[in-house]
Amino acid sequence: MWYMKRRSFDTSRCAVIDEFVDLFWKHRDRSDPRPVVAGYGHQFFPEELVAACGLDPVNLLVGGSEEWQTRGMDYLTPTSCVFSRQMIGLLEAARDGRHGLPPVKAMIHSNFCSGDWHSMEAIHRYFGVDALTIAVPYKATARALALLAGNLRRLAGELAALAGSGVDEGLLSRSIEQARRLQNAASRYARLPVAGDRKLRDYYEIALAPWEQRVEVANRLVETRGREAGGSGALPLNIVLTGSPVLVGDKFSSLLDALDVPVRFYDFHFADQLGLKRVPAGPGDLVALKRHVDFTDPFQVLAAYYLEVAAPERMVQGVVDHLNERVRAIVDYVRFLPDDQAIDGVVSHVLKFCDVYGTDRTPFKARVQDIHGIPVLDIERDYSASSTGQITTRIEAFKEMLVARKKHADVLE
Amino acid sequence: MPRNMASDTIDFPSYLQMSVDFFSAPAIIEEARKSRKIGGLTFPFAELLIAGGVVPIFVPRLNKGRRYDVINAAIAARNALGMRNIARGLDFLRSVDGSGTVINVAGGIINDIISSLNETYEDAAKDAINTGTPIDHCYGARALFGLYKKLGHLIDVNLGIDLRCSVFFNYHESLEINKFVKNNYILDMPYEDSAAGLDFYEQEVWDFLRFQEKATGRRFDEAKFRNVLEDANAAKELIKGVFLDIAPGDVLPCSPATFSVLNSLLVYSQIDYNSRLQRYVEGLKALVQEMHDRVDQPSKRFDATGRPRLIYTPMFGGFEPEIAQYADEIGARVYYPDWVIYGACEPVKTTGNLVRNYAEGLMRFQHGFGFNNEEMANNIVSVARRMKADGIIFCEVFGCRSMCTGHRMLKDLIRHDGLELPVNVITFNNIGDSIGQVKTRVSAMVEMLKGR
Repeated sequence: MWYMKRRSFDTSRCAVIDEFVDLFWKHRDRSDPRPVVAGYGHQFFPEELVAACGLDPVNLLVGGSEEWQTRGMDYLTPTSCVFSRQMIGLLEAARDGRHGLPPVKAMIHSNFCSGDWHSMEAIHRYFGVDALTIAVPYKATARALALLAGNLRRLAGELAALAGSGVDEGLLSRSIEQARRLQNAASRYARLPVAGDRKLRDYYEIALAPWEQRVEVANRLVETRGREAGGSGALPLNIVLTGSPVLVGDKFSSLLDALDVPVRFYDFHFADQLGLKRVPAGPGDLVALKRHVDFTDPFQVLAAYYLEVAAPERMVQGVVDHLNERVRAIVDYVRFLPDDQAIDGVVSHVLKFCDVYGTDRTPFKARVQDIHGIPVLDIERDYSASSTGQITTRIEAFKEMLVARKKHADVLE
Repeated sequence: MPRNMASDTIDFPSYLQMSVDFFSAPAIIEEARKSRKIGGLTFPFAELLIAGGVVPIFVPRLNKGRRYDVINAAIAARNALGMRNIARGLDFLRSVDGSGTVINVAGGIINDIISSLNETYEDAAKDAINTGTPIDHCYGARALFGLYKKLGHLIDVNLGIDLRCSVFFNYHESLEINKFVKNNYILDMPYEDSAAGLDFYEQEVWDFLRFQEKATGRRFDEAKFRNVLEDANAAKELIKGVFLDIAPGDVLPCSPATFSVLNSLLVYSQIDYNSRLQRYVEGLKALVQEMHDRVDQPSKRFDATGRPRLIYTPMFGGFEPEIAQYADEIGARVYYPDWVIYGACEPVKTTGNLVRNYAEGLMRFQHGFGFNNEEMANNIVSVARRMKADGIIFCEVFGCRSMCTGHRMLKDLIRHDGLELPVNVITFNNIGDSIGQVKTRVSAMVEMLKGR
């Protein structure tokens, strides 16, 4: 790389990365690490494909570092998404090799948003990390399906070459089936009256487990939490946390716990969304693309999933109103609650300069509140500690309002 | 009498003509609506609209600014007397008016008209915030959102061409979510230049053409499309000539400040060809010819020898217009070759499969902005070299998380290649913000360049 610079960085101070590293190794053998292909904390990371090619997919679900967020400004702009800036800071820091992760063979470079696309370019150009590109169109159309399926096939070839193997469609089909089983397990987990940071950590553990072990890890957690929860009463409030994901190292979720507003549903792609979304198995699982997918072709199935199911909030136009899809999904969490319970409130969490979740904040809030009558607390933040006080005050006020509202509703009943 | 924008403009009839045409969009569109449909767009790809019988409009032009009364008067006067006669008349008045009143009045009006366009953007950007557009969206997206909110109802079909920017995709969709436009088509992009990517683009274009037909009731005319492409190619060639032949020279057809304003007029007018392509091409031919003529006339030309040439980019999404005037005052010149850099001045082949050729043109546009920042940086440097630029002012628009993230790569590329081409990164949020700071930085750059 023609303009690589080396900077020394003391990773021993990094609680954020330590926590992530611990989770990474929890279900892996340190003495026998497999080659890792990493991606960012967003939806367009085809882990099914990476796993099917014999590699270890690791979604870098890391957040919360103010220092790395600031470092990233050297490579992007101050108004680039704080997460993408942070990831640059993380990868810059990780070059010294003292972080405890095995070397990353390559990273998946996706266009989920401008932040992902440009930060990944910087990481590739400046830190010498190999990037394998997967660009997803913005509209779920038949031609987008054909293009993306072709790109996934190409990516599979590149991954297989990295692994020293060939592309096996049968393995990919099995990997997709595994994804569906994981989604089923997540659906069972979502029904358990588990809330708060502990729940989020369970999801981190599942998401960071080796691909072939995730269903087992998830089922074990369903069993364990089911036993712990057995006979426990309803939670005082059922809160959905949505928007920019809260990742390993980011204390926002534990802040909510500390303020006695534990989150019942984490509306993130690696968390409770798993229970709502399915890699399509047949035409009935799709709307826009149902007539166009050859369900015997796993690449088309995956492409349809990424275009139509995985992240409607990122897509544009088409037969589906994407904002309505996102709102519907929030409201749909009620299916995991007993009949006598409802979603009491939504915390819309947006990291500063987030394209995808920031653009529609206002109409999202309006639709959830005005159409569905569910109060929304809109929080915009970055990873700095300076705004914690203000955010705390707002969360406390929101909680008070929800409690009063619920008492009033109970009295009326 | 010192050379200034007013004195340049009043005896520059083809420039006056183009300015009046640019600012008279409300009248043109009002007339056109009687028999045609109106199509909105943001990037210079009006050919698809024109070939579909639709009158293209870049929405900011639809706004009647503060001095629209003057534009109306100018249109009436031009229709009665012709622009050359007006220019001669003004020139005559200037020659007999020793006090400079004519120039000052004319110059004030011209400045007012240009300022009112900038005010249009400013007001719209602020209005967008009040409607819920995130404050950290780029200026361009905010301003356009606000303008579409105000004027989108005048548009019958809207073509949203996108780049490698997720905010812009979201902005285009927000026009629908908020019901600002009736028929909105977002052209998806393939993010790769491959046979499959080109097929994708071609199918997107065909899909838009069918969408447009349905929205307007008029068939896309392929024979007309050929003629439109030929005219558009001619326009692009002329525009390129202004930036690549005239701008690098030591003699300019007018003062540097006026030439900068002319640059910006070319950037914005190319988007919709001032809604009348053939007239635009004729006007451009006259403009370029007059520029060459003025370069040959000692009384009209401007000797810019020794004045550093500064490329200011990107400017199409929002820029600080005062910088060009300031640069002129301190002995430099500022150019805005955005569409030359970003691939919108390349001709489209007019033989064979025209829609496919057009898709190739769109692909070149994507390459112009770059599928990545390194590509964009190379394009900026390439055009800067062709224009013999002495420095680059890179405008980092607040809220831009796409192309403006390329500032670092631009500097590193120049350093790596050992080029003597300093880059000054300035930030832009709203017009007039931090103007003092920006001037200080530009001043330092010019001093450094002059000292070489």
